[in-house]
Amino acid sequence: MGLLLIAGMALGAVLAPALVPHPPDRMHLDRPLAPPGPEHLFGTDYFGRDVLSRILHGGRITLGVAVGAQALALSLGVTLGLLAGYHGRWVDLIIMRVVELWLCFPDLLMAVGLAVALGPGVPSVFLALGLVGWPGVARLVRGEALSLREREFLEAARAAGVPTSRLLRGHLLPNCLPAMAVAFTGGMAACVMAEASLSFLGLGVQPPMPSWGAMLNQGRPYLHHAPHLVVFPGLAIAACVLGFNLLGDGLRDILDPRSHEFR
Amino acid sequence: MGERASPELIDSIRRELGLDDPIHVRYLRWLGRTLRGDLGRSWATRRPVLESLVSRFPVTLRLTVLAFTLSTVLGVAVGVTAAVREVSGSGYLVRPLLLVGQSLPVVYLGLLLMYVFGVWLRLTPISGIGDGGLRYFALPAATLGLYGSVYKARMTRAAMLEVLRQDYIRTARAKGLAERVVVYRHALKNAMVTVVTVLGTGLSALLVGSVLTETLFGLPGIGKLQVEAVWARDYPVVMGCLLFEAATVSGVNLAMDVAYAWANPRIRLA
Repeated sequence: MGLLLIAGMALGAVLAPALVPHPPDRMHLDRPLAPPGPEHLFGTDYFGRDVLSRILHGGRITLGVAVGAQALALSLGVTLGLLAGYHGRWVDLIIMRVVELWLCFPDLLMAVGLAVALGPGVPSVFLALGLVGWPGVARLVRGEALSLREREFLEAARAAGVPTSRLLRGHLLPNCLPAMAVAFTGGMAACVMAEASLSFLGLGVQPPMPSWGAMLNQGRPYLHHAPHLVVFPGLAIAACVLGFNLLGDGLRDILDPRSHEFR
Repeated sequence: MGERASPELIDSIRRELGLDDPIHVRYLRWLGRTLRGDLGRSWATRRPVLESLVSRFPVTLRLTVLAFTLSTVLGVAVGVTAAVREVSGSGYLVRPLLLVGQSLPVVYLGLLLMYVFGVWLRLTPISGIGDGGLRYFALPAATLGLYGSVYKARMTRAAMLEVLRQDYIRTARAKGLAERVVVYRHALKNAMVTVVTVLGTGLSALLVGSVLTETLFGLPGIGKLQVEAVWARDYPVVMGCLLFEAATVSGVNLAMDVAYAWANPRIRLA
């Protein structure tokens, strides 16, 4: 179910240029704020731009940013988490203190701060969200690594003289994959949400580039006469986040049967 | 200082503001001032940052307290109902509903409420604070409260399901106690121990939500101050707001830990 939603979203995003009835920036100045109809399925905005086309193109940006940010968060988080969990002692101490310090700041506000420091635009959104996401991943992976550290297969590998770097990559990492998969889907949902929030505040994707969050903000003044301007982008965000949440739930059920009762 | 300021003037201002010093000296100076409660002045309005924070605080406090109350009451109620229904086998609708609720961005939720109650039914003001009356807080607080309640409902439900499976619940039922007493007196009390721990996390989410809600509804609170400062590149104000938020979150978490140890002696040794 979640997979279906996500697959649909991703397909829509990838094929957006071929699918959309109108270019996302094309203005039909003769029909601004048109309600949904056969020509414009989701209506048009103040400049007469086709809302459906902008949503599909916005999906490209949102999903692209989210995947990029997650890749950054996972690579940072997994590396540091593995190091902390495996080495323990002072390595663990230092990394985990940094993680805790980082987590003091509410995530979106941290992202706002980073986005300000980096200046608005797509690259800084991706960087900001990636930098916000890593501590959670690090904590999760550290927990996994800690519980795996004393297991026999690792001891055997150590006894056989496998160097630490290969031990981490070849033996520890694959066993953390299930946890990482769940972290990834949850992180994607959070990223999509955060990107929308940042863009809503005008700190993320800049106009005229289409973005779901920015569309919500731009549609707000026309709530009286053209509610479709906010209804459809909002639905897109909700559907996307829901998809990742469902996918995450499903993955957890498959990968971790113990948690079945306890969701 | 305009575009045509002389290099000498620029130099003298740089020196005055201490921008010539290396970064660690500037950081230590900032730290020292901050510890003494001096958050600097806004670059845009020249007002002390602390003064702006204090003047905006009541709005944010009011919004957050209303939302916190609403989200806790609603969240716990829904969570308990969900768990009880689920045990009796008629709760299959609740989980999908919670999942959908969890997926709604707070801004979207706010816009929907705005449309239904403000535009369609014309019951409440759509934005602004007007005379500061409670009416102006109705929609923002409802938005933030609903948003926060989903998480609390999920936690309550999970905790209740766990508790309802325990032996002492079976004992209580076997004693012939009314189901109401079993659920509220025995189960809920124990489930709340878990729920209380997540209230702190919930507050941090509410703080984030309040930034968005205040911006959406044009409430002049700290969140809106922060967003405006970001727009104006007014760094001292942005820093002040972030500091305030981090301090609030840390403070609440600490208070929660202490309260938790006090309420639940089992945790004290750990």
